Amino acid sequence: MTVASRVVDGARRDLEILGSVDFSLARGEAVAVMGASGSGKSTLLGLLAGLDRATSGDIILDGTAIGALDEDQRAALRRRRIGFVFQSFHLLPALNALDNVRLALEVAGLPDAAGRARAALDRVGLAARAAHYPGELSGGEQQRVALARAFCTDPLLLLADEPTGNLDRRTGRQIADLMFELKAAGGTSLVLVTHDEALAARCDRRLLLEDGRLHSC
Amino acid sequence: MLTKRPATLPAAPGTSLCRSLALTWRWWLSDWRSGALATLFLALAVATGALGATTLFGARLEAALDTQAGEWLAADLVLRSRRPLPERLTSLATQHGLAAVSTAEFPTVVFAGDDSLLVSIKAAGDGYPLRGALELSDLPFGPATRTATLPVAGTVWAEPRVLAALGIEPGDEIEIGSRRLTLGAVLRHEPDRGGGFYGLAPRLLLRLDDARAAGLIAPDSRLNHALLLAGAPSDLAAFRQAADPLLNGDIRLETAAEAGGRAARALDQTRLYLDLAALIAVLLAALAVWLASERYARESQNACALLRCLGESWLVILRFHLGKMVLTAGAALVAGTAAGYAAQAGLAKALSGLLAVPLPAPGLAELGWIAFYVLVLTAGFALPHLWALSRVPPRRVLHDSTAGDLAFHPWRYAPAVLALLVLAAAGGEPLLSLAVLGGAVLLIAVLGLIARALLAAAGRFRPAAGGARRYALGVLARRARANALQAAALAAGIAALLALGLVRDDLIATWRLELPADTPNHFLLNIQPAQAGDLAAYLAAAGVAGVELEPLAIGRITTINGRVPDPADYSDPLAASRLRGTTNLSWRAALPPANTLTAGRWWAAGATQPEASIATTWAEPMRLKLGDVLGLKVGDLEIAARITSFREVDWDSFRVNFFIVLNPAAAAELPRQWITSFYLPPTSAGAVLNGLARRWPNVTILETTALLDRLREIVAQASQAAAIVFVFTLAAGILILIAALQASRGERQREAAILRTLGATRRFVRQSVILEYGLIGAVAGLSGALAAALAGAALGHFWFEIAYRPRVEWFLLAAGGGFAAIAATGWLGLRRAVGSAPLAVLRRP
Repeated sequence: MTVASRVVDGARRDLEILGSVDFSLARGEAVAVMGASGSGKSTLLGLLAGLDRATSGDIILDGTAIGALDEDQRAALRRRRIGFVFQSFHLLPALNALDNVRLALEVAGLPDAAGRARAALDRVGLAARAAHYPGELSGGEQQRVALARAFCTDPLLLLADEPTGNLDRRTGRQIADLMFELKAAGGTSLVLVTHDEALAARCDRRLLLEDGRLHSC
Repeated sequence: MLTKRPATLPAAPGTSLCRSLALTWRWWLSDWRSGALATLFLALAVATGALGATTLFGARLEAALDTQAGEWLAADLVLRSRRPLPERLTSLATQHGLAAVSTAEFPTVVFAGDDSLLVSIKAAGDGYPLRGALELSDLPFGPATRTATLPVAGTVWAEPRVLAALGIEPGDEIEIGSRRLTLGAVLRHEPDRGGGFYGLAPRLLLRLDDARAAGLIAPDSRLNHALLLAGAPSDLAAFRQAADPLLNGDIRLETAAEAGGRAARALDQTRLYLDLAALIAVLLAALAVWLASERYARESQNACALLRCLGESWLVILRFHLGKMVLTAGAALVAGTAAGYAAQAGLAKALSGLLAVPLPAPGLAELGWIAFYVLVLTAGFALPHLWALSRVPPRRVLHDSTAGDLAFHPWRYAPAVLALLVLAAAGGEPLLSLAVLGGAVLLIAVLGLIARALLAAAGRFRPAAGGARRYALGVLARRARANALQAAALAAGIAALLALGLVRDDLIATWRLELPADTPNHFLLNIQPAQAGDLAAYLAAAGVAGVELEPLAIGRITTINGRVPDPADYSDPLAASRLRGTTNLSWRAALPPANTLTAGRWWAAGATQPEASIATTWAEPMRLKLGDVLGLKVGDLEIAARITSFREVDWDSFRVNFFIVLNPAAAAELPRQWITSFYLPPTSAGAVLNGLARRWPNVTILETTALLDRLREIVAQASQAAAIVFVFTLAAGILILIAALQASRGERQREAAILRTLGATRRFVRQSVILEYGLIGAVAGLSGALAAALAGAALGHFWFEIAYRPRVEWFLLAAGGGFAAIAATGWLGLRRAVGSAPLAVLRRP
């Protein structure tokens, strides 16, 4: 990744959320991005995933410049190469655990979506709850489903936005263990946005986002 | 040690009503400014606007139609008596702000030179006709013009027959009573002519003063006196109430509805149709309130759980949300009524050239009704959701869930049912209201179950792969309950609109069917047997098609089953007068057109024994049964015919019809004259009729062209009114359905964003949205069409008295149209969200 900045059109005046941000990430590397609330961490994550567009600069993922892609090309990039884990899980309430995972595989166009989804749920220890709907699962269980969904397509890059922020400490630790375990097994790169020092410490590098600028810490 | 807590905690100092009102107001303002109430406001405003426009326009149309109906009486209300009507009634009518005119009708003989003629005089006071118009011409069958005035003093107007019989023309003098009056013009049509066609003396119209001056009206002469009244419906109703003690057995009260025959029926059906359209607008508005408040409650769950967590009681929360709802409804009422008023005013203006009757201004009372309807609807249809909302478990704050339906118990639907009952009781046709609104509730419940089963079944047909299709069907099946509710609401809306459309089509078709273009517009009476052949040849040569001469004999009932009947034995005065007077009868081999057998059988060809077929309206007061033998005397001949059938006669068919029809063998020897009816196009009528009147002066010519024209005009007006109101309700319905679809937009936007985060293309999202919404639309359309067919059949049978014909193409159209319309609306609602950054959607609280 080279340079990225984001200016959001505010209600009264333009706000600069991210200034000149420049960093690169090696394959399999884990980077923690920390910073105060509102410092632009989630915006950075959105830009990395191609969910949002930078006003200037570009992001190169595995040799592809994201900024040059249109919306559907960015979606195609996300499908196979990027996984996402959110603080509030964002599972589809109308689908059960199995179908939530299966959907990601189907969207990615992978064969045997059902078998792979079952295997993914098995890896996160939720095989027995495959038929349960998000409303019937605890927060920890929902995040496990989200992890299964994120990793089932073997992405190059996992973007995690406060993945343990909504969970108690013990469950949070279990989820973090699982996430790092899956990351290691797949050789996935990880960008982890968190306030949790202990969680950040488990990453290879820690970056601090302050006043729209990224520093090492 | 534990102390026992009081059962109810004392109210906290701040939970007073004042504080909660202030809190409600503050939160409402803040919600209002943030746009959180926009959907609810829009749904309520659209519902109010639609309801307002339909109600206001319907009320104006109805008032206009009332005026039109009055034309059949030349008034809105008529009091008739054989004796002069008490002066007190006229002054009472004037006191009630009604216009009043007296008329008197009686037969008398008039003279012109050496010729004399029995005529039927109508003497009318100034102001006649109060409704409708007279038609006059200079020549007996020349072009006619309309006027709403009386002949000037010293002149009379007379029907063409008078001119032919007396050999006079306008400008000539006629001796009437002790005076000589001048013939001013030829009278071609009078709005309240009515009456039967036979034995009818030709009309002569003059001023009441002239009739008195001619000594025709003595103070106690037994004439047909009438007091014609016209005014606003409320004034008429007040007058009827006040006049009731003054009405004795001699005074008969007649309303436009009773006098108009077929036209009155068309107008009545139109009025009923307008009532139905207004009811359907209420129903659609109720659906909009239901769906919008359901969404509001769903979105407010977390905030409510938090409030309950902070210790607020459920009652305060309920009051608080109800307050917000009422404030929103109030704002929507103002905006919606203004929009509805503007819409109906625009429509009335656009149609002013099309409608023959000017639309009266909308009344303030209607605006009051709209406010009442909207507030009752809001209370009844929002309360169940707000109730469920106020009971949201506080633990929800611990387990945030964006899904989660509100807990619902069947009895919580009670306020909605109660609201419908209140509205049904307040409506113009309580029984129709109750049936439509009650039927709708039942319908929604049944449709909900059908839709749920269909949607769940759709889920079972999920393909093993196939991305968008699989996803959409899975979501459909999982959300079957919520989707079924939405589909049922949509289906009820579609059903209501379809039923309204189907009934309208059938009504118009029935009206048109009843008045084909070649409906006879002329009658010839008193044709002597020796003239029949020549006359038929004359008409055929003049190009008049399908002339059929019918024999007519005038007879008297002598015996029933061999016994001479005593008029005193019959309670019905009609029966008694028939026994004393004469009756027209005819004979023919086949059942006459516009007649249907209700009992017995029609005679076989060549039947030799005398048989009779009797019109039911004639037979009933006479207490006749099948098998009775009727003794009839015609001239010097007597026959005894056994009644072998009863007939229902369509007296409005403008054909020659008879109470008593015999088989030809029974009437072989009877003295007779001939009668016929036929259609003459206006262009050739003058020449044909003038020639006929000159060659056969004894033949009576009756013209019904003006009557038919008025009838056609009214049917056209009624059709137009029904069409306009239907299109209006349809537009309102579509707006409401769109508002209903917006109810689940937020949830679906979020899902679209998640899908896109997972890398789904816009095509995938579009396909799944179109499929999901489309299937809901198809299920709603199909079940809506089914419900419409049932509702249409019930409405047609019980209220409109028309044969309703369900059509297969409607089902296909409803399913296909439902799919396309709902899918397109769903996609249009989500298009922008799908195009915008998914992160922005996911970040929303």
